[in-house]
Amino acid sequence: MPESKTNTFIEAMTPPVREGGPLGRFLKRSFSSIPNGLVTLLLLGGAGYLLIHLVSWGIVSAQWTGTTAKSCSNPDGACWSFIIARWKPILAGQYPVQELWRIFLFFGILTILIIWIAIRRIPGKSWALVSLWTVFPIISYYLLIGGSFGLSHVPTNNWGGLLVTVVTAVFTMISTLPFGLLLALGRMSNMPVIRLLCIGFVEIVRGIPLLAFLFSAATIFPLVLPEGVNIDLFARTMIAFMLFNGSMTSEVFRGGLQSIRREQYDAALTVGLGWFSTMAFIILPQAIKTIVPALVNCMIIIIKETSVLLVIGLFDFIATIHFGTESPDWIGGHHILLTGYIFTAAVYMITCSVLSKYSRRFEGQIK
Amino acid sequence: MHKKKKPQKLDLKYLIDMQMINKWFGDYHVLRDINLSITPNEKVAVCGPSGSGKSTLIRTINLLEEFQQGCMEVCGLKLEVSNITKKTKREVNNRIGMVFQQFNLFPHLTVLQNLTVGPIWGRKISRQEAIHRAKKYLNHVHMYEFIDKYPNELSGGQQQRVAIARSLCLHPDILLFDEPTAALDPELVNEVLQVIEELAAKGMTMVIVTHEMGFARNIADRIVFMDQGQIIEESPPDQFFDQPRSERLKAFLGQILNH
Repeated sequence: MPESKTNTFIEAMTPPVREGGPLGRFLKRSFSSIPNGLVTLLLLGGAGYLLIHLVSWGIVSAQWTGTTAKSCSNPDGACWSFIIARWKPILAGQYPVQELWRIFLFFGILTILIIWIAIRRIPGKSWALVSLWTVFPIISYYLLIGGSFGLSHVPTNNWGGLLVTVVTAVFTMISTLPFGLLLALGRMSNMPVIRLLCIGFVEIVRGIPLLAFLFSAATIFPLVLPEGVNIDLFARTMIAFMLFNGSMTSEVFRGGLQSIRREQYDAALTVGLGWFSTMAFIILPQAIKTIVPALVNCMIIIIKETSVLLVIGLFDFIATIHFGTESPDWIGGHHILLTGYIFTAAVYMITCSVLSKYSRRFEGQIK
Repeated sequence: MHKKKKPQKLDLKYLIDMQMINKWFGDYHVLRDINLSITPNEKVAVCGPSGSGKSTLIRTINLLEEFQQGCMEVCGLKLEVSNITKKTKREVNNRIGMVFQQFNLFPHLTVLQNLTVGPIWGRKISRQEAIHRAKKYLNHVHMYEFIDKYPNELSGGQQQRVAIARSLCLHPDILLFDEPTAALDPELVNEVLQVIEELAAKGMTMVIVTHEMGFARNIADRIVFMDQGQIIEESPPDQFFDQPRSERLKAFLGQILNH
């Protein structure tokens, strides 16, 4: 009989080395059988074909300079000159040229804040977050609208392009998060009036399509305001966005809050914490960790949602591209609208994928 | 001085005095006519079969569960069904510490933060004093070297010792233990029981729900036996184990001591 028990100590060993490099393993898996090999070849071929066409259309045969549609006479190439020549309306719409520095300053401050929050090595994250919710909106308001501190007043109906899209997206995000959180807390409150109000609000607003909601803000809401009171279209739209997205994010927050076990509330009570500190230090930090992916999803939806602004008459990013192709200088060239839309899609896609990439890294950090 | 500062010495006959407490979960009558008094420095163990209402009993003492009939006095606070509010719940919990079966540490905070969050934000004690206390009590439970770890980096026994230190940081008049070793691997039980015994030796008033009969016999001044929501018998340990009066206690002891 073989000896099944020994008293010898087995030394720890390193795991066996995997054979072949990464490329070797890729080839081995992709060509493991004839059908597999065929599928691999087909997919690689398709991707290669698309890539070659894209490079040829977008770079090799593309037109980069010129100020009218005549510059884009090549039927096989993109018309980047349209984007380059019209950078100003695409960036800021009718914003006065001599005031453009205010927009650059705004984008600069925003970029600094985003980098400050996103890059781990930079200290003082809480200051960045606090200023995002306090100083930043105030500075932006006076910087972009002006009317005081020696800055000339630029009414919002002169705004347009990327400025409108970014301002709407950023301030909807900034206002939606606290509003959604308040709705969620209200919905879980044990005070019946507050709870019913919050449930009613969330359920009604969630049930209305965004477009209907925006149209009411744009056209019906001014009718119910008392005589002489006038809130401008842009402000009404931002409030509508906050209310609409608040009801969406509130459900995400509620999910996160409900994922925290009752024992954590018990423990918080027994160490002497009141409602506010229990929420701020015990429940919310844990809840938010679990809902980061869902919240980022909400943010991405907000960014893309801003493209409906053109329907209620605000000239956002897409609108300036779309109506740009109808301006007298740019009628009749090749691929102008297509180039514009591909450019728009690329900007949206890069923004959203950077955001989701950041959120994945953030999830990795907090685990 | 802070207004809510508690009196240094409570000169009371009973720290806990429960009178005719009744409680229901829906239709289920979980606590029935509970009368229980606990004097300062007394150590009381609560035993009984599972589902007998032991945990509910001690969770009622610090108002984690509300009672529906009767009244009680806890550390001088008179509590009736009508005056159980968020405010009284906090007042009671400012006097009582609790250690849970599942430890219930805050998983996103380090050991030190777990110990200081209550004193700093609940009790408005200075950060410096809170950290001083935390270090002192971590030493008491032999966990000082783990001060910067997160709960999920600790074993069950270590987590429970941190939880005990966390409750001590609030300088409670009474400590409640809800089956403190029931969720632990067998080899980790003793390190926790030892810490509780050290606390007992220092004169802390304690109510301990436990299945560890040997431990209960060692540490308790009095053992309370519960069954079906009632207190069936309460007596000093020797009498409890050697001369049980009720049939139900005899049956219970027969079941657990024959194994």
